[in-house]
Amino acid sequence: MPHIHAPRSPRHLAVVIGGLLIGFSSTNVWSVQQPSAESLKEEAREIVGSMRKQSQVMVDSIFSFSELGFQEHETAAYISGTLRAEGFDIQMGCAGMPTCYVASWGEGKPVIGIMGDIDGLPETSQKPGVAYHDPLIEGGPGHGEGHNSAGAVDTIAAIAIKRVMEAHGLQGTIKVIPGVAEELVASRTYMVNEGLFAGMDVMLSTHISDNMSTRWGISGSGLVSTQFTFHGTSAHGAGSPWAGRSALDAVELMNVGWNFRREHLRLHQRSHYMIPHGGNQPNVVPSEASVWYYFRELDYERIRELHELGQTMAEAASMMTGTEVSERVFGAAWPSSMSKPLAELMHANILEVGLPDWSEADQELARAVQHEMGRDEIEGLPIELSDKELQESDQGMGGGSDDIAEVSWNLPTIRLRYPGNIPGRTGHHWSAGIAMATPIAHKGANYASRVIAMTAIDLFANPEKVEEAWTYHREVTTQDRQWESLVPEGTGPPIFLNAEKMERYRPQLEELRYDPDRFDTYLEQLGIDYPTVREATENQ
Amino acid sequence: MVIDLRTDPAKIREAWTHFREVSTKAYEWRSLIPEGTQPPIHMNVDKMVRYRPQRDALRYDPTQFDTYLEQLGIECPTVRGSQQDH
Repeated sequence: MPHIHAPRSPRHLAVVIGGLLIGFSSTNVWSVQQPSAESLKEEAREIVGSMRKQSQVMVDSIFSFSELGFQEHETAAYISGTLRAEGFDIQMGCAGMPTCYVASWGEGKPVIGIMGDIDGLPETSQKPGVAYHDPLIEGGPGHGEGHNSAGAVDTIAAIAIKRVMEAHGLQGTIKVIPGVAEELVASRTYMVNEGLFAGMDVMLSTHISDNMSTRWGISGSGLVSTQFTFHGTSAHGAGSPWAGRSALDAVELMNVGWNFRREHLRLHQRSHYMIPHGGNQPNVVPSEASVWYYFRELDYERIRELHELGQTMAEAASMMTGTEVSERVFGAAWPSSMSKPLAELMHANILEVGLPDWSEADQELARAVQHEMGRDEIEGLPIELSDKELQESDQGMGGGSDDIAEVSWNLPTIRLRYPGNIPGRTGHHWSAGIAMATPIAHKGANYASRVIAMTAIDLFANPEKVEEAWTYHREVTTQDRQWESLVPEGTGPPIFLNAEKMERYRPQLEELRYDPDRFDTYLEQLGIDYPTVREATENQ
Repeated sequence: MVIDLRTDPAKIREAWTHFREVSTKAYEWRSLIPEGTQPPIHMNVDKMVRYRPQRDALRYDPTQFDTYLEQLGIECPTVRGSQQDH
């Protein structure tokens, strides 16, 4: 708990003076009375350190909610409720998404945002601390990426920042906003289009990893996520197939066309699809069928061209089959462009915070997972930072996408990759859920909160750093390109996605919900020995 | 038909003779479903769960309405205006 209860008057004065001297923080004005930025950061770090228990409870709770994108109702209520109890103002629901919220504290400039993802993934249910596939719910949703940790990272950091600001009368506003449905890459474009980030100065974003790092520059692929639905005519599949027009034929022909054309596209493109609906039963000619595509490329123009080529394939397939086609864009993202000045600030804090000390049990679990996943090198958890020197991102041939990118082109943004998961896991897979309600994730999340809190204090205590970030944003990031939405105007967030899946699994999930009043940890509640590894690995 | 068979057992014997000497002379039925496979009664569960609330609201009540058409308030036949004129 924080031990400082400073009088509030200096802050009020600072606000008045700050109005005359924009860009000067109360720290500068009251430099005689104020501790240095370094000591404020140290204080924030200590507060976060003292909140290890809360980190663990939040990591474990959100893990047990296991909610899929757009259905993060419990998660959103839980995180926003925790922040409300700390005195944050909560705006529930934003940009048409009920699970979006803005939790604000403080007043005036600078306005610093903290943003991490909150959604899970289908089919990734997994018992934590168990080094082989052992689902809590067979086929059920889980945190097979580790987004359950970000809510803890962001909340604990925000609370610590608030306590330091309050104690020392620092001016500014903290806003915690969740990355809703990040796995669907389908929330941030809508938030930007709604103007949710207007007036904000900096976004500090957080993402699970297996080391602690940040990079600046452009990374990853961007994408358009979109669904084509073909409309045909049903008929008896054997009795009078000539009377029907198969929407499924159209889906298959579109896919065949796309897969042939794929050979003649730039190697940097990545595209994949699945068929959410292919009909009802074989003897009924499918009158409706849909296919959901992700079209990924390395820049706005190329993403748009790839998307347009997909639309051509869909139209061609509809012509071949005598069906109609309609399209619903679900989401989109540019590649990310992270701020260099913010990266420099964050990197310095990463060097100060370093990596958590892993216990022998943590290492044993990590090695067993690496063994299970057939990794060549069984190296356990890292004990050294991956990036000793700050590095620029390399977009290379592209890869995944993250719609924090949409924020990054609109205001100075930086992403912290923090430890908490195991090197050698497969992404979007049960193996990436194993560590996520164990001491590995608990410690990683708490260390991440330290870096975020310290970086935010850097900015609140030195508002000229915010100016630097904006100069870079204007003169480098957006010098040659202005962000444009890849989601067509008038399209709203597809909040219906995952609704049925979550409904199916909610009764089972409720039984598995973590109860921190009765159990120290979720592992304890589940009765899992930590770590649980195969005997063969144990003997090695 | 049932009465025919009840009153003339020779017809049943005839049917069996045809069944043995013609129907199954060259072919013996064998199951196309592998042994141990059970009927897939999980099918359509999700779909019915989804539509049951709407369908319940549409269930025919013979105590209140003479026919289902009457309950639905449908004039029989209801045809497109243009067709009606032909």
